Amino acid sequence: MTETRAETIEKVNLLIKDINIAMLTTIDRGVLRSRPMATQEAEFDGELWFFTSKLTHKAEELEKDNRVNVSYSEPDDNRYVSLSGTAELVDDREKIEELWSPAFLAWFPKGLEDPNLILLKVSVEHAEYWDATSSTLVEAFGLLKSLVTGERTGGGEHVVLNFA
Amino acid sequence: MEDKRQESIEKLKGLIEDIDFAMLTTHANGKLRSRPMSTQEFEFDGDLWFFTSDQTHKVEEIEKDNEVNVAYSKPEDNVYISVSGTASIVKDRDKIEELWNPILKAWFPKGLDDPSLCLLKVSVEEAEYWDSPSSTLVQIAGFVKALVTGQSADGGDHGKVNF
Repeated sequence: MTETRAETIEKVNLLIKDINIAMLTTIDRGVLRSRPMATQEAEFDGELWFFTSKLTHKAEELEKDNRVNVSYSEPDDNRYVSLSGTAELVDDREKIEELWSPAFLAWFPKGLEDPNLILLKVSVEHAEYWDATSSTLVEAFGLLKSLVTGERTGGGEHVVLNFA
Repeated sequence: MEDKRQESIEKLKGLIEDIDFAMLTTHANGKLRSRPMSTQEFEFDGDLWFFTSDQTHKVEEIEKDNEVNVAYSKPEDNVYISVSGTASIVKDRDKIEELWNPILKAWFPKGLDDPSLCLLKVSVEEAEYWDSPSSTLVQIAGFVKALVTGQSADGGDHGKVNF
Protein backbone atom coordinates (compact mmCIF):
# COMPACT_ATOMS: atom_id res chain seq x y z
CA MET A 1 0.00 0.00 0.00
CA THR A 2 1.48 3.28 -1.01
CA GLU A 3 0.30 6.47 0.52
CA THR A 4 0.74 9.76 -1.19
CA ARG A 5 2.91 12.33 0.53
CA ALA A 6 -0.23 14.32 1.34
CA GLU A 7 -1.84 11.30 3.02
CA THR A 8 1.29 10.62 5.01
CA ILE A 9 1.43 14.19 6.19
CA GLU A 10 -2.23 14.15 7.19
CA LYS A 11 -1.74 10.91 9.12
CA VAL A 12 1.19 12.36 11.05
CA ASN A 13 -0.76 15.57 11.65
CA LEU A 14 -3.61 13.61 13.25
CA LEU A 15 -1.19 11.64 15.42
CA ILE A 16 0.69 14.62 16.83
CA LYS A 17 -1.73 17.56 16.80
CA ASP A 18 -3.00 17.15 20.37
CA ILE A 19 0.41 16.46 21.94
CA ASN A 20 1.69 19.65 23.56
CA ILE A 21 5.26 18.66 24.30
CA ALA A 22 7.68 16.60 22.19
CA MET A 23 11.19 15.40 22.99
CA LEU A 24 13.79 16.80 20.57
CA THR A 25 16.99 14.74 20.35
CA THR A 26 20.18 16.31 18.98
CA ILE A 27 23.80 15.25 18.76
CA ASP A 28 25.95 17.21 21.19
CA ARG A 29 29.65 16.39 20.86
CA GLY A 30 28.80 12.79 20.08
CA VAL A 31 26.27 12.48 22.89
CA LEU A 32 22.57 12.13 22.10
CA ARG A 33 20.66 14.60 24.21
CA SER A 34 16.94 15.29 24.32
CA ARG A 35 14.83 18.03 25.79
CA PRO A 36 11.11 18.80 25.91
CA MET A 37 9.86 21.32 23.37
CA ALA A 38 6.46 23.01 23.12
CA THR A 39 4.80 21.89 19.91
CA GLN A 40 3.33 24.10 17.23
CA GLU A 41 -0.26 25.26 17.06
CA ALA A 42 -0.21 25.16 13.28
CA GLU A 43 -1.13 22.02 11.30
CA PHE A 44 1.78 19.80 10.29
CA ASP A 45 2.66 20.20 6.60
CA GLY A 46 5.90 18.23 6.41
CA GLU A 47 7.94 20.58 8.54
CA LEU A 48 7.89 21.03 12.29
CA TRP A 49 8.39 24.45 13.81
CA PHE A 50 9.42 25.16 17.39
CA PHE A 51 10.04 28.44 19.12
CA THR A 52 13.38 28.63 20.86
CA SER A 53 15.91 31.18 22.05
CA LYS A 54 19.14 32.27 20.42
CA LEU A 55 20.73 31.81 23.84
CA THR A 56 20.46 28.02 23.91
CA HIS A 57 23.13 25.52 22.92
CA LYS A 58 21.02 24.25 20.05
CA ALA A 59 22.46 26.62 17.45
CA GLU A 60 25.97 25.36 18.10
CA GLU A 61 24.88 21.74 18.16
CA LEU A 62 22.94 21.99 14.90
CA GLU A 63 25.79 23.74 13.15
CA LYS A 64 28.00 20.72 13.78
CA ASP A 65 25.39 18.07 13.09
CA ASN A 66 21.86 18.89 12.00
CA ARG A 67 20.31 15.44 12.34
CA VAL A 68 17.52 15.30 14.89
CA ASN A 69 14.72 13.10 16.14
CA VAL A 70 11.44 14.39 17.50
CA SER A 71 9.45 11.92 19.56
CA TYR A 72 5.87 12.28 20.74
CA SER A 73 4.45 10.25 23.63
CA GLU A 74 0.80 9.99 24.58
CA PRO A 75 0.81 7.30 27.28
CA ASP A 76 -2.95 7.53 27.92
CA ASP A 77 -3.76 5.99 24.56
CA ASN A 78 -0.49 4.16 23.91
CA ARG A 79 0.48 6.46 21.06
CA TYR A 80 4.15 6.93 20.23
CA VAL A 81 5.54 8.74 17.19
CA SER A 82 9.13 9.07 15.96
CA LEU A 83 9.99 11.73 13.38
CA SER A 84 13.50 11.84 11.90
CA GLY A 85 14.85 14.77 9.97
CA THR A 86 17.25 17.65 9.82
CA ALA A 87 16.97 20.88 11.73
CA GLU A 88 17.94 24.48 11.19
CA LEU A 89 17.39 27.72 13.02
CA VAL A 90 15.27 30.26 11.14
CA ASP A 91 15.40 33.92 12.03
CA ASP A 92 12.55 35.10 9.82
CA ARG A 93 10.38 37.78 11.34
CA GLU A 94 7.39 37.11 9.10
CA LYS A 95 7.41 33.41 9.86
CA ILE A 96 7.80 34.11 13.58
CA GLU A 97 4.73 36.35 13.47
CA GLU A 98 2.78 33.86 11.41
CA LEU A 99 3.41 31.00 13.87
CA TRP A 100 3.18 33.03 17.06
CA SER A 101 0.30 32.39 19.40
CA PRO A 102 -0.40 33.97 22.80
CA ALA A 103 -0.12 30.43 24.20
CA PHE A 104 3.65 30.76 23.81
CA LEU A 105 3.72 33.65 26.27
CA ALA A 106 4.08 31.04 29.00
CA TRP A 107 7.43 30.14 27.46
CA PHE A 108 8.43 33.59 26.22
CA PRO A 109 6.90 36.20 28.52
CA LYS A 110 8.21 39.04 26.34
CA GLY A 111 6.48 37.54 23.35
CA LEU A 112 7.32 39.00 19.97
CA GLU A 113 9.35 41.71 21.70
CA ASP A 114 11.91 39.12 22.81
CA PRO A 115 15.01 39.81 20.67
CA ASN A 116 16.26 36.24 21.21
CA LEU A 117 13.11 34.61 19.85
CA ILE A 118 13.94 32.35 16.93
CA LEU A 119 12.44 29.34 15.14
CA LEU A 120 13.79 25.84 14.93
CA LYS A 121 12.59 24.13 11.79
CA VAL A 122 12.71 20.36 11.32
CA SER A 123 12.35 18.99 7.80
CA VAL A 124 10.85 15.55 8.39
CA GLU A 125 12.29 12.73 6.31
CA HIS A 126 11.02 9.67 8.06
CA ALA A 127 8.15 8.94 10.42
CA GLU A 128 7.17 5.88 12.39
CA TYR A 129 4.32 5.42 14.78
CA TRP A 130 2.88 2.94 17.20
CA ASP A 131 -0.79 3.37 17.70
CA ALA A 132 -3.41 1.41 19.58
CA THR A 133 -6.60 3.34 19.48
CA SER A 134 -8.55 0.69 21.32
CA SER A 135 -7.55 -0.22 24.82
CA THR A 136 -8.85 -3.77 25.08
CA LEU A 137 -6.36 -6.10 26.62
CA VAL A 138 -5.76 -8.16 23.51
CA GLU A 139 -5.08 -5.10 21.45
CA ALA A 140 -2.81 -3.61 24.06
CA PHE A 141 -0.79 -6.78 23.97
CA GLY A 142 -0.68 -6.57 20.22
CA LEU A 143 0.74 -3.10 20.49
CA LEU A 144 3.27 -4.10 23.06
CA LYS A 145 4.54 -6.89 20.90
CA SER A 146 5.02 -4.53 18.03
CA LEU A 147 6.99 -2.18 20.25
CA VAL A 148 9.56 -4.82 20.84
CA THR A 149 9.71 -6.70 17.57
CA GLY A 150 9.06 -3.80 15.25
CA GLU A 151 6.54 -5.92 13.43
CA ARG A 152 2.95 -5.23 12.68
CA THR A 153 0.69 -7.17 15.01
CA GLY A 154 -3.02 -7.76 15.29
CA GLY A 155 -3.99 -5.12 17.79
CA GLY A 156 -1.71 -2.20 17.41
CA GLU A 157 0.13 -1.07 14.38
CA HIS A 158 3.65 0.00 13.66
CA VAL A 159 3.84 1.90 10.45
CA VAL A 160 6.81 3.45 8.73
CA LEU A 161 6.04 6.52 6.64
CA ASN A 162 8.42 7.85 4.06
CA PHE A 163 8.52 11.45 2.99
CA ALA A 164 10.54 10.91 -0.12
CA MET B 1 31.99 10.93 44.93
CA GLU B 2 30.33 7.57 45.40
CA ASP B 3 27.67 9.27 47.55
CA LYS B 4 27.05 11.76 44.79
CA ARG B 5 26.57 9.00 42.26
CA GLN B 6 24.23 7.18 44.61
CA GLU B 7 22.26 10.39 45.08
CA SER B 8 21.99 10.81 41.29
CA ILE B 9 20.81 7.24 40.92
CA GLU B 10 18.18 7.66 43.62
CA LYS B 11 16.92 10.86 42.02
CA LEU B 12 16.61 9.34 38.58
CA LYS B 13 15.06 6.16 39.98
CA GLY B 14 12.34 8.17 41.65
CA LEU B 15 11.61 10.09 38.45
CA ILE B 16 11.35 7.14 36.08
CA GLU B 17 9.92 4.36 38.21
CA ASP B 18 6.27 4.78 37.25
CA ILE B 19 6.78 5.53 33.54
CA ASP B 20 5.95 2.41 31.53
CA PHE B 21 7.41 3.35 28.16
CA ALA B 22 10.47 5.34 27.16
CA MET B 23 11.57 6.46 23.70
CA LEU B 24 14.96 4.98 22.80
CA THR B 25 16.84 6.99 20.15
CA THR B 26 19.64 5.38 18.15
CA HIS B 27 21.78 6.23 15.13
CA ALA B 28 20.22 4.47 12.15
CA ASN B 29 21.83 4.79 8.72
CA GLY B 30 22.60 8.45 9.17
CA LYS B 31 19.29 9.24 10.83
CA LEU B 32 18.21 9.44 14.43
CA ARG B 33 15.34 7.04 15.05
CA SER B 34 13.35 6.44 18.18
CA ARG B 35 10.93 3.74 19.30
CA PRO B 36 8.95 3.07 22.45
CA MET B 37 10.45 0.52 24.83
CA SER B 38 8.81 -1.13 27.78
CA THR B 39 10.67 -0.03 30.89
CA GLN B 40 12.05 -2.40 33.43
CA GLU B 41 10.10 -3.87 36.31
CA PHE B 42 13.17 -3.83 38.50
CA GLU B 43 15.01 -1.07 40.28
CA PHE B 44 17.38 1.30 38.52
CA ASP B 45 20.96 0.98 39.79
CA GLY B 46 22.88 3.06 37.24
CA ASP B 47 22.20 0.93 34.17
CA LEU B 48 18.94 0.75 32.26
CA TRP B 49 17.89 -2.67 31.00
CA PHE B 50 15.38 -3.45 28.29
CA PHE B 51 14.31 -6.78 26.89
CA THR B 52 14.51 -6.98 23.13
CA SER B 53 14.98 -9.45 20.31
CA ASP B 54 18.27 -9.89 18.53
CA GLN B 55 16.27 -9.90 15.29
CA THR B 56 15.49 -6.17 15.50
CA HIS B 57 17.20 -3.33 13.67
CA LYS B 58 18.22 -1.62 16.85
CA VAL B 59 20.66 -4.39 17.66
CA GLU B 60 22.43 -3.79 14.34
CA GLU B 61 22.28 -0.03 14.86
CA ILE B 62 23.85 -0.22 18.29
CA GLU B 63 26.65 -2.40 17.00
CA LYS B 64 27.55 0.38 14.53
CA ASP B 65 27.16 3.29 16.94
CA ASN B 66 26.36 2.74 20.58
CA GLU B 67 25.46 6.29 21.61
CA VAL B 68 21.79 6.38 22.61
CA ASN B 69 19.25 8.57 24.32
CA VAL B 70 16.35 7.35 26.41
CA ALA B 71 13.58 9.93 26.81
CA TYR B 72 10.82 9.57 29.40
CA SER B 73 7.63 11.61 29.13
CA LYS B 74 4.92 11.91 31.73
CA PRO B 75 2.64 14.61 30.32
CA GLU B 76 0.08 14.49 33.13
CA ASP B 77 2.73 15.60 35.64
CA ASN B 78 4.86 17.67 33.24
CA VAL B 79 7.84 15.44 33.87
CA TYR B 80 10.38 14.97 31.09
CA ILE B 81 13.68 13.16 31.42
CA SER B 82 16.61 12.78 29.04
CA VAL B 83 19.10 10.01 29.70
CA SER B 84 22.28 9.81 27.58
CA GLY B 85 24.52 6.80 27.52
CA THR B 86 26.01 3.95 25.59
CA ALA B 87 24.13 0.77 24.78
CA SER B 88 25.24 -2.80 24.49
CA ILE B 89 23.50 -6.08 23.76
CA VAL B 90 23.79 -8.59 26.56
CA LYS B 91 23.02 -12.24 25.92
CA ASP B 92 24.13 -13.44 29.31
CA ARG B 93 21.71 -16.18 30.30
CA ASP B 94 22.07 -15.63 34.05
CA LYS B 95 21.29 -11.95 33.68
CA ILE B 96 18.31 -12.66 31.42
CA GLU B 97 16.92 -15.07 34.00
CA GLU B 98 17.61 -12.67 36.84
CA LEU B 99 15.71 -9.85 35.16
CA TRP B 100 12.94 -11.93 33.62
CA ASN B 101 9.45 -11.31 34.91
CA PRO B 102 6.31 -13.20 33.79
CA ILE B 103 4.72 -9.86 32.86
CA LEU B 104 7.15 -9.78 29.91
CA LYS B 105 5.23 -12.69 28.37
CA ALA B 106 2.96 -10.08 26.83
CA TRP B 107 5.91 -9.11 24.63
CA PHE B 108 7.66 -12.45 24.43
CA PRO B 109 5.05 -15.22 24.49
CA LYS B 110 7.74 -17.90 24.35
CA GLY B 111 9.34 -16.40 27.42
CA LEU B 112 12.75 -17.68 28.37
CA ASP B 113 12.52 -20.29 25.61
CA ASP B 114 12.65 -17.57 22.95
CA PRO B 115 16.12 -17.93 21.39
CA SER B 116 16.12 -14.34 20.13
CA LEU B 117 15.52 -12.90 23.61
CA CYS B 118 18.31 -10.62 24.72
CA LEU B 119 18.94 -7.58 26.86
CA LEU B 120 19.72 -4.07 25.80
CA LYS B 121 21.77 -2.40 28.49
CA VAL B 122 22.27 1.36 28.64
CA SER B 123 25.16 2.57 30.77
CA VAL B 124 23.94 5.97 31.87
CA GLU B 125 26.42 8.79 31.52
CA GLU B 126 24.24 11.82 31.88
CA ALA B 127 20.66 12.55 32.82
CA GLU B 128 18.63 15.73 32.70
CA TYR B 129 15.13 16.26 33.88
CA TRP B 130 12.41 18.84 33.84
CA ASP B 131 10.04 18.46 36.70
CA SER B 132 7.09 20.49 37.83
CA PRO B 133 5.53 19.10 40.98
CA SER B 134 2.37 21.15 40.81
CA SER B 135 0.32 22.12 37.82
CA THR B 136 -0.48 25.71 38.70
CA LEU B 137 0.07 28.18 35.90
CA VAL B 138 3.00 29.93 37.57
CA GLN B 139 4.86 26.71 37.88
CA ILE B 140 4.07 25.65 34.38
CA ALA B 141 5.37 28.95 33.10
CA GLY B 142 8.54 28.55 35.10
CA PHE B 143 8.85 24.96 34.05
CA VAL B 144 8.32 25.72 30.44
CA LYS B 145 10.86 28.49 30.53
CA ALA B 146 13.40 25.98 31.68
CA LEU B 147 12.57 23.87 28.65
CA VAL B 148 13.53 26.56 26.27
CA THR B 149 16.41 28.29 27.92
CA GLY B 150 17.94 25.27 29.58
CA GLN B 151 18.13 27.24 32.77
CA SER B 152 16.44 26.58 36.01
CA ALA B 153 13.31 28.63 36.43
CA ASP B 154 11.49 29.42 39.63
CA GLY B 155 8.51 27.15 39.22
CA GLY B 156 10.01 23.96 37.91
CA ASP B 157 13.26 22.23 38.36
CA HIS B 158 15.77 21.49 35.62
CA GLY B 159 18.39 19.25 37.02
CA LYS B 160 21.43 17.77 35.41
CA VAL B 161 22.67 14.60 36.97
CA ASN B 162 26.13 13.34 36.16
CA PHE B 163 27.06 9.72 36.48
